[in-house]
Amino acid sequence: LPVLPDWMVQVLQVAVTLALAPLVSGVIARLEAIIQQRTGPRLLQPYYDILKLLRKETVLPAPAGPLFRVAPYVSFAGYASVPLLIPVLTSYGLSPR
Amino acid sequence: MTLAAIPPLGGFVSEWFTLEALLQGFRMPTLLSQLLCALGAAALAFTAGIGLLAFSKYFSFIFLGPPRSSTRAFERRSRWRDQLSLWPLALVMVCLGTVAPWEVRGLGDALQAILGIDPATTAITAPLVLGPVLPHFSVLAPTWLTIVLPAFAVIAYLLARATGRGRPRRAPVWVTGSRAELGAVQYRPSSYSNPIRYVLRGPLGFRMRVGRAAAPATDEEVHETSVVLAFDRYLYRPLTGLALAANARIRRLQSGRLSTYLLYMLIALIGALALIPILH
Repeated sequence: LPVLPDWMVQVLQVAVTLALAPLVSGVIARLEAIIQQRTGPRLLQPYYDILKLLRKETVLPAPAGPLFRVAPYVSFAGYASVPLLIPVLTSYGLSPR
Repeated sequence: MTLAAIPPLGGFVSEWFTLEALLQGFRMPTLLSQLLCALGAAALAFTAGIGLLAFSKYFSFIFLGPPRSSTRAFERRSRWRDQLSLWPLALVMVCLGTVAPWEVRGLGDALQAILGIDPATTAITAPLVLGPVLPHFSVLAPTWLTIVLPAFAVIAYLLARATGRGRPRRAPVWVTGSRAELGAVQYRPSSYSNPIRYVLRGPLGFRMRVGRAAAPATDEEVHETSVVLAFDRYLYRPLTGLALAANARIRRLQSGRLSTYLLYMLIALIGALALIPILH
């Protein structure tokens, strides 16, 4: 297997986490439904939910300041930086050396 | 805010070093020490999370919430001018975290002159990566987070812009149906502390009671909460009691008569003289 540089592994870790996190959520929901003998949602339902939420209109409270608008993006940045720290694609912690 | 160890502020760098050192607990010789390091890292992350939540809430209570009274509204209007002097300090706080590798390098140079070794050579690997104990352990550092976190936020914003539906709409806030002023019913410090107390109700001994007011004419509900202050109850109070009891016993010796004090001094002198042959 080709050895990727650290920065590329980190970028891939973030990309894979962002791309597959909804699928993991869908698999868990599906497994729960199977165990409870329900029909349950589709496997890709979280992706449809995200698409629906992204297309919805944004409504802000009248007195909300700029920080209110920035908060979701800051929150996203915080969560997205977690895969930079913990191994997702690799079996070693943080750095291979 | 730097006390809350938020990246990229100055307080975050020291916490980062501690966390990184604890994460290297797998290098410890025994399983117990490895487990303790892992537990320490988890506890540090947990306390950092609570600290971050608490400080950002307190910051928002003070600076961002709507004013509760007209006096406060006036103070808020005049505050922006007063804050001008704080901006350079805030900038320094951000810079202290961002330029941490250069600070460590400077400290290393100074220590080399005194100690003969340069700790910075083992703490800094890539130009911007800081890692304690052994180099090459980490690939992320406070300086990198300064670059990465805003970049992620920008990516999220662009993603939302690309898929969203134009400008957001402003709508009035629904305030409890009682037509109360928003400033009067907004989050208060207890709104934040109560959930934390409730989650930690076991160790804190949190009790909550809702009852009628003592005055018979009013229908007002009384909401009482109590927290067992563990250190106060189980450590400080017994220690204070012991110290006061010892103090009361010693006080009996203080008669106020000169001859009694001279007797004490004589006893102390005889005791000291008796110690000389024992020590030799």
